[in-house]
Amino acid sequence: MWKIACAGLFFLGLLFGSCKNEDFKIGVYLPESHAKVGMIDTVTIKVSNMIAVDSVVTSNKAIGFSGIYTDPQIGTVQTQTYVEFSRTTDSENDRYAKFDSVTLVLRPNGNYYGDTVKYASFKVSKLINKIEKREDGYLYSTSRVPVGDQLTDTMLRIKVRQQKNFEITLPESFGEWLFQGILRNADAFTTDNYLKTFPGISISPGAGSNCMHGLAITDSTCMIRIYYHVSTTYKEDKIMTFKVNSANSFYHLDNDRAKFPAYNAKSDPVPSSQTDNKGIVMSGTPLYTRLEFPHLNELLSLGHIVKIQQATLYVRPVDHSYDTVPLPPQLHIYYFDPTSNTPLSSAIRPPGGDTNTGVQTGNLPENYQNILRPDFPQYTFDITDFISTQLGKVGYSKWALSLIIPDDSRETTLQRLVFGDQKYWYRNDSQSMDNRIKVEVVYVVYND
Amino acid sequence: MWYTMIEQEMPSNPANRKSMTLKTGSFLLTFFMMLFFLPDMQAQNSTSSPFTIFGIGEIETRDFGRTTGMGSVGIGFQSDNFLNRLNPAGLSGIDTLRFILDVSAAVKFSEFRTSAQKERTNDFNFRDLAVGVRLSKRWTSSVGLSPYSNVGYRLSVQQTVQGTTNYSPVNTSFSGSGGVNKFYWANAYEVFRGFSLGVTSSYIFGNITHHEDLDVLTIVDTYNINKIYFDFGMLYSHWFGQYTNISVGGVYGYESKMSIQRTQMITSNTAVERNQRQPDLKTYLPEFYGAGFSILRNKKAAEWVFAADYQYRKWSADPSRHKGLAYTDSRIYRAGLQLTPDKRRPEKYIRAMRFQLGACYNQSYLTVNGYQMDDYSISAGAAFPFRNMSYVNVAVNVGESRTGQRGGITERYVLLSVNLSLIERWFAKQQWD
Repeated sequence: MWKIACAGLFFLGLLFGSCKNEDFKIGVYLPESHAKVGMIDTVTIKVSNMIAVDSVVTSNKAIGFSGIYTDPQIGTVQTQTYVEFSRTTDSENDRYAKFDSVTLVLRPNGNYYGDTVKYASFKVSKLINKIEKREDGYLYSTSRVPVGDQLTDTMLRIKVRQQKNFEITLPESFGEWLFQGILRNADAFTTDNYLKTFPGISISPGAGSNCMHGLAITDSTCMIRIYYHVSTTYKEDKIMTFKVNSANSFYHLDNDRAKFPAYNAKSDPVPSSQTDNKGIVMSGTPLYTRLEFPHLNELLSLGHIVKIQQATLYVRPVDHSYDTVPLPPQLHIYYFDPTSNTPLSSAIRPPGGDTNTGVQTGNLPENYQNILRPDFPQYTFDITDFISTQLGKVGYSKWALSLIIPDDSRETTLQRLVFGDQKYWYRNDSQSMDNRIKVEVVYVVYND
Repeated sequence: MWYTMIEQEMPSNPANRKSMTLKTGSFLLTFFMMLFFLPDMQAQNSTSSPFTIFGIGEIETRDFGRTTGMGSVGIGFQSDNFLNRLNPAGLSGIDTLRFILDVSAAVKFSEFRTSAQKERTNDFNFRDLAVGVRLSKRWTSSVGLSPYSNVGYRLSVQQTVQGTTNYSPVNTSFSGSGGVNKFYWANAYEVFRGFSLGVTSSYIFGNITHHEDLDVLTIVDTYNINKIYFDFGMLYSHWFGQYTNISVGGVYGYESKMSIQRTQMITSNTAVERNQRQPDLKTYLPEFYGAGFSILRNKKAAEWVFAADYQYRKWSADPSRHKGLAYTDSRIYRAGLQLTPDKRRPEKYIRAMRFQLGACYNQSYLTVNGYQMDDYSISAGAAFPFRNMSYVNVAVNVGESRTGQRGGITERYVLLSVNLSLIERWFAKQQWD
């Protein structure tokens, strides 16, 4: 029987074991925590504005820009688009066909810059030379092609949100020249010689322009149309179309950054103190912002052991800076390696562990431009890992962060973010939103 | 007949004597194996009380052996098969020629309540292990391992972020485990007929671990306790006539300084921030004394026992290191009744059993926010005899621990314990026809 009793003891253990709720709530007032949790939002952030690269690739992007705009935050931005047209594939055998008119068909792609309520002015000119790519096979925002005769300078009101094709009438002499050359298959318009004779056009801002439009440079949205007719027993209207060759089309961008002369030294960071206490992130040029945390180690004085529970970076656009220029819907954040001066050394991944990929994009609320109930416009980044690893670092081991518009948007859109640095509020005495950049650090501190 | 069957197991020829030797050897082997493994077996928590976050935890006031069903009385009680853990002098009651091995286990079902919340837990653990033997006419000795205190809590606390209301509270998990054990050697010496003195030499040891876990920081404090301690007892037993026996006993333990080694390890999610020994904690084992009595009455074949105890521990000498907590003197009151229907070998098994009732009231050494905690319980038990002298003691305690504060934490529990009391006959001279 004693064996049975022994087995009974073990059976009791197996049967009941020990069982308790992991999340025991009764008695939660009893422990005295050794570790205190606090939040600090006064970590110093040093903001510097920098030019990421001299230029961006703008060829074969199926987009163009045309316009000029004096940005009160930066200076004058001017763009022009160079377009090459393929020889038409429309054939006309009637040598007595009569030319009627010629137009340039364009379509806004929805990107705009400046006050688009005003009339836009497009100056269209013939190119002198064929568009030639650089050795690397690309054309850049700094590339240019010599421009010849001006064909037209037209004022139009563009409905940017509708994104419908519109037509600019070109001179009849140009149209007749082009039409007759093709119709008669003149030597200058043979397949081999066509691009030498007609290399393309440039679309640039005309006189009085004070806005900029993005253009969709595709087969169906950018073309030259020649309207003509043939007369047999009746009059038949016809169209000859020259479609764009988007692979050889590109846009050029100039930004004088006259507002901030310090930008002239392109490789040097411009402290936000020299840019009206503003950080500027912009596509096209492009500009990016470097964020340094020079006094981060002061957090270590909070206790014997200090650890970062959470760190959140808030970047807030300056009031009204995005009224006429859209904010980038996504803003990327990267580690900035000071030793190699690499702004994009590695992405700060979304929180959630190593399995998460990609770059944080800032989660800008979609409704920030809603008139009735706008969301507070701000970009939010989880920089917990960055702050945690930077705590205690000195010298060259201290890294910074960079804010930049994502690659694809940087080359194909005109977007701009102007945010306040930590002194912005006081300098401008704003009575509206607090537009200052801020990092909130939730820390755990242990003191003996 | 049940006892006849048992009798057949008794040694009556050389073959059985060999069997006996083997059984005795297996007893000792079992004891030493369990002695070796018991601390590990006790690694499971014996309690879930959140109050075990304080001090050295929940002091074990129960005897999980022979008298559990009697409210764990024992200071003034002795018996021929009782390994008395409360009063070493009580060992004198053990019969000559007997060797006793006790092993106990218990499961505790608890329900913790406040005015707004309710949580249930259950904890199983092995409790006691002891052997005892009368070594000479006057000297009885016992060696054992039993729990002195238990720690076992797990709390999830939402810690607010100081300086802001914009952030959700940070979850902090507190957990504690371990406890203090007592390895003891108790000796009783019968000075003259009915009067015995006893001394228990104890090695008090154990580890108590407190965890505090945040997402980014884990703090582990480990307290290591090692202490040699002695306490004393006396017991006087007297027969009034043939049927009535009265025993009175007393115990005493002196206040003794105790130095607890403390090691702290702090780890973050990236590194070990600290792993070093901290200054020892200076504390005390409290002075204690207690007194008790028992009355035994034989009526025909039946035996009645009533016993009662009082015990006092002077914890207040130890200053508290926790806010809102004070160590206060504890008092324990116990009383129990036992009936054995037939001490002879009755035909019916049930009449050979022992039946127990008891009650216990315990004022804890913890005073939280000005309220001294207390505990009261009632108990019932039964002992099932087997193999002529051995017993399986089964007892159930139903009780409540309270903080005394209105709306404070109350623990209602049912404690089910099983004790295996193996009794062998040693030193018997065999006679052969």
